[in-house]
Formats: sequence, structure tokens, C-alpha cells
Amino acid sequence: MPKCKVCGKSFSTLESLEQHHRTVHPKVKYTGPKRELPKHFYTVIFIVVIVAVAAVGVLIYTQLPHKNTNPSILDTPISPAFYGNLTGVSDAALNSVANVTIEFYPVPITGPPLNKSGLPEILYIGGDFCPYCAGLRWSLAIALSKFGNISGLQYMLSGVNDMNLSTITFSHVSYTSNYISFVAIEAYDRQGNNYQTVGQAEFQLWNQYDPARSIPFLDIANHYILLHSPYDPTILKGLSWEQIYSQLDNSSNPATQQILGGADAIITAICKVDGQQPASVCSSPYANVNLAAFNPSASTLAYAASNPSFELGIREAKIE
Amino acid sequence: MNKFSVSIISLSGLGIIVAIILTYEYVTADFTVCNINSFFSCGAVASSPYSKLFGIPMYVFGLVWFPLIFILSLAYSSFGKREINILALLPLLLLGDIFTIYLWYDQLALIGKLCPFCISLYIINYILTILVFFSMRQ
Repeated sequence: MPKCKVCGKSFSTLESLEQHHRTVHPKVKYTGPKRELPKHFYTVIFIVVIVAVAAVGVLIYTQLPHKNTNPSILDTPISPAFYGNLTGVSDAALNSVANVTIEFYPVPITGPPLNKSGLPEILYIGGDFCPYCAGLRWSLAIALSKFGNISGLQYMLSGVNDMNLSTITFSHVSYTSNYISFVAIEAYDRQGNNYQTVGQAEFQLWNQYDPARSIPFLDIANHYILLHSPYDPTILKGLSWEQIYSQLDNSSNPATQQILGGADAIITAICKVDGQQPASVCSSPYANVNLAAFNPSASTLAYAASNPSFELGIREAKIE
Repeated sequence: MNKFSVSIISLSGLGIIVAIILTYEYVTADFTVCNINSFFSCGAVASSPYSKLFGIPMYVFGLVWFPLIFILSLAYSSFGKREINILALLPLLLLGDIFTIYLWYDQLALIGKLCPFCISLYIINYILTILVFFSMRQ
């Protein structure tokens, strides 16, 4: 029970002692007794800390990316739900992002027409480890699915030290279309080692339009090239495949906006090289993005050289 | 009311204000005040699926947390029974401090960006803990 140091009177609470002191002994400075901690105070603190640390530990464990990015499923076919969402993006979703600004658009080039089996050829050269390729492949797969049937898509992550982004690989892709043909080469695997061989014809194009031979390299029938992911792929960081593909029809999702924005730009470029076919696709707003609005200051090559999409110094690809 | 009580109440009041601003930015998706650069960006954090916990947006936690701390701070001051409330306030603040370990992990490891307003709320909580601890020793 607190006591007044001046007169010795006892009080039931510290507040009443302080009140007494200020009223009765106003000229003496009040120094209250040290507050006693409530009973079991330290026990409560100890229990709170232990429980909280354990809860935070469980939270962090359950949120670890490994749960959603299990490397054991890499190079295996994507799930039907994944495939369905990726190839079934609605026209409404694609239209709604037609005015979204992305980072890089296909730029026009003037080369001899690139055809395969009598159809305009879309040539992709990339690598499984490359995060920019990881970003591009989402947009490209969606774009290609508007012109034909894409299959053989498999789970992939960009390199462990290259953001570990959830993506797909084109290493076993098949593509059938009445309008365009598609050639995909994953020149490097997830570890950055040489993987699929780049044919002589493809190498000539790659070397011609990007002497640094950086990846990704996307040649749209020699009329447009794209030497970068259409968007900053860091937006995919930390997202699982499911977190990305399940949102592909939700155009308010920031990652979706960028992926679909990239798809729109590629679709627009393809429509310009295949004679605006099919009309149901090429007459849509999403297939009429203003590519000219993206105006690299100098020539395409100078632009490409000043915007290397992936660090130079990667090993030379395996050439046929 | 001593200087510790005033500081604790004021700081928890500041926490409420920052939490409200953060909520406003999340709800309106207007992060012009809070986006400093590509790394310190509330917008980038808000757009990540990791900005939710059990489906609840993180800003809701701040919106609930700081009014609760403010009420307890008032109770802890000379308005209330200090001996009783210290048993609630300090453990609660410690709980918040430890929870911020997850929030730091969430932003740095999972999202790869930092939300400046969120960080300021963590710092307010740390300072409140220190103040309550020292006032308890007074």
C-alpha cells in the first residue's frame, strides 16, 4: 500500500497518493514510489512472445514460395485448368486492356517475308532461365492461341537467381494454325546451359536483327521484332502459376493487365502480317493497338542495341 | 498526465492517422503520395496477392490495430487504472512487433518492394513499445 513520504499517511492507489501530495504538500516535489508490476506480468509477456513467434514462424512457412513453385513439376505438361485459362482469355478481358501502356511493343522492320509452309512465320528464340522470356511467353502463348491451337506447354520457372518467375516453356510446344506458323527455340535451359539447337536460318535472322544475340528474340514474319518482354517481368515475382493464370480474365489485376497488354500488342502485329485473319480476331479492339505510338528514337537496331533485353556474356547458343 | 502518457497517446493517434491515409490509398488505388520509386512503392505492394492475409487486406490490420492501441493508451494514462492496463498494452504491442517480422518478410522476400506508410506504422509500434516499457519502469 503506497505511503506518503512526507506525512506517512497510507493510500489505496498511487493516484490518490499523488493527489494527496499535490494538495497537502504542494511545495515538496512529488516522487511517487516505484510502480509494482502486476502479478504474473513476466509470465504473460513470456507466453505472448512464445505464441507470437510460433505464429509468425508458421505464417512465414505457409507463405514460402516453394509451396507454389515446386520444381518437381517443371518440364511437365501444364494442368487442364492452367491450359484452359491461358488459351481461353476472353475478348472482353483483352479489349479492356487495349489502352494499357506496356513497356515494349513490337517494332517494325523491313526484311524479306519470313514464311514457313506458306504461312507467315513467328520465330521465338529464348531460354528457360531468362526472366524476360518468362514474361514474354505468357503474352505470346495467349496471342498465339487466338490464331490457332497451341499445345505441349510445360511448367517452367526462370532461373533461381533470375527471379524464379512462374512461367511456361516452349521447349515442347506444338502449334497448328490456318493463318501463321510458329517456331520456338529454347536455346538455354533453366541453368543457362545450351539446350535446343538454333538452326542456321534462325541464327541468321537473330544475328541480323540483334547482333548481340540476346534473348528473348521474337521475329513476327520479318515485319516486326520484339527484343524484350513486353512488360517488366518483376510484376510476376512471388506469384505462383495459379495466382497468375487464375487471374487472366480479371483485367483489374495489375499482372494480368501487363500480360494481356503484351498479348494485344503481339496480336496486333500478327494481324498486320497475316492479312488481318481471322477477321473475328483482327477486327477486335485488342487487335488494333496503336503500335506506331511506340516510337524508338533511332533505328530498330540501334534501339535494340541500347536496350539489351538480357545481359550479354551468356554463352553462345548451340548453332546448327 | 505525465510525459510518457502524452507521448503514448499522441503516437497511437498518429498511428490512426497514418492507417487511415494508407487505407484511403488502398481503397482508391491512388498511391501518388506513397510511391517514391520502384522499390519504395505502396502501389506495388498493394497489387501483390501477398498484400492480403487470410483474404484480409493488410491495411485492415492497421485500421483495427491503432484505434485499439489508442483506447488502451488512454486507459493506461492517468485517466485509467494503470496497473491493470499495463498487463494488456505491453504484451499487445509486443505481439504487434513480432507480427511485423512476418510483414517485413512478406514485403522484402515475397513481394520484393517496400510500402513506406506500412513501415512507418511498424516504426510507430516499435516506439510505442519502448515508451510503454520505460513508463512502466518509472
